[in-house]
Amino acid sequence: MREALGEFEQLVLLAIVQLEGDVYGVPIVDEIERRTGRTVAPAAVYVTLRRLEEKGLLSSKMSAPTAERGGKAKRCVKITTAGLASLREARQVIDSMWKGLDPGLRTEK
Amino acid sequence: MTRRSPRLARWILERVLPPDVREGISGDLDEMFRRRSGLWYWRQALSFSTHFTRERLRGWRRRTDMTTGMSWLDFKLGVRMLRRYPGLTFVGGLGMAVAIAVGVTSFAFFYSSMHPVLPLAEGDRIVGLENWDTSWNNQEERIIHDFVAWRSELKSVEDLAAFRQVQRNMIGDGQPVEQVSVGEMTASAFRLARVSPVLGRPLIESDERKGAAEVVVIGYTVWKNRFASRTSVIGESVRLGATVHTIVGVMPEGFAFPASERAWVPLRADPLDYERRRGPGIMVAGRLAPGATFETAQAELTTLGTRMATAFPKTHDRLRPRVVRYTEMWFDDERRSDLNILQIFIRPQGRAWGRPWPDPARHLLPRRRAARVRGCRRRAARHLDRPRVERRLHGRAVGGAAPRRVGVHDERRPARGPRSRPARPAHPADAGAERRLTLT
Repeated sequence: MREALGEFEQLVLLAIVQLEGDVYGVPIVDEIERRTGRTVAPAAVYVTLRRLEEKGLLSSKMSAPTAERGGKAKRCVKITTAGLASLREARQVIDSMWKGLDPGLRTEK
Repeated sequence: MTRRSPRLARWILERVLPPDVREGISGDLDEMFRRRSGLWYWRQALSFSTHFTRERLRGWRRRTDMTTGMSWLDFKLGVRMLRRYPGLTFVGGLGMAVAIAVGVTSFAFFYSSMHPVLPLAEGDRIVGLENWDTSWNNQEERIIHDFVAWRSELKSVEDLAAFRQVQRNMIGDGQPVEQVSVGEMTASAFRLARVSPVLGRPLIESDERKGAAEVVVIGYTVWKNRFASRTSVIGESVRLGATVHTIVGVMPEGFAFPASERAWVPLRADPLDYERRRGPGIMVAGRLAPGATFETAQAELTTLGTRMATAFPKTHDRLRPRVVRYTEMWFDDERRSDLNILQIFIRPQGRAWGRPWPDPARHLLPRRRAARVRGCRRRAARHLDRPRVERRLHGRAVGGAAPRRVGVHDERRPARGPRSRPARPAHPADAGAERRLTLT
């Protein structure tokens, strides 16, 4: 079994899936803040992105540099097949923990 | 007008962020900064410093399986030890201090050996410019068109010079044939080096023109050994390969710019003769202009590269021009770190020290080994697989016999077309990854 994903790692991976395609740090931070209603430290997101890439759950490539960003390129990330599988596993674990609980509690989900 | 983020905070970020994510993160922060305050940027600099330092420590612990294990109890025991046995504690502390000092000194020694500053006037401001091809992750050396554009447009790098190394047989009156390393350079290379000849003149711009007389500037050892240090050598002829050259100057003892050359002839590579990304492979170096820094030069070069990519997407879409330290430009990215370590073991004793003039190849590797490295790079570009190239490089570094002309550019060979690129592995996400996660 693969290494379990942490909660924040799941949030980052899910944000990437929600945004679709090649996405970079800024929209990922915005997406997590928008959906969770929490303030997220950009540094935490970037550290997590790097860690996920090291684990092979993400892949990244540099886009063309743009003048608006002072000639700096964006680092675009994409979820890999292994990343999707890890997310599915995490979901199954949570689902199995919820199984059999009273419906009232389930609706609070 | 674009707001500038706080300079010191930016500087801190540059140092803290790992190189592979530095550009992306600093670009993203600049983008977010547009709708936020300077204080926010400072907070981010501190936050990134903390997060990445912690991450680095975590990685280090994971790799070494070690922790410092320092606790309050250790501190208390240390104080107790100091109180009970002050002499022993002092000797122990002194021993550790000496060990740390020895460690720091040796690291400083190796660092200065690996990254020497050219022994030229303001040698630390001489930088290399190169075009990095992201599609096959290697340096693109056929940059004659880019060199012309950089020379006319760059403000933060001046005295831009192009050069390449070739080997020629030197044939003179009654002297044995001798193979010498010849630098084909633009005249600006002599301005860049800021070294005047001891006799005659250096190369000048008119020497670079097509149809100009074949001239050569010779090195001190050539002058001494082959011409018996005659002051009347200026105007005499010497054959380099098949071409007879007129000697116009003699350089001072030890001068070997750009790497380990003993004679210099004009570089005659007219961009009009070649399409973009064709023509001879050249290297480009220049001097940071007064007030310019490595970072400003890189920013200007990046902007210029972006413009060229827009204007010539077919050839320049995947090229990323970059500024590197002069000594680094002799090796590609992967090799730079390997060779820095390798050269510690294969440096010939005493040769690297006390050279009055620049000789980066000797600082980094002996000349022939540096040529071999470049040869390996060229072969790698011609699809030799990496393990094989590494085996060869290693074998030669350890002392195996090497062919005489490894790494030598053969000028008789017709100009190469764009290198056919090795098949790139597909983007992992492209290979069957689902675009949307099916949450059932």
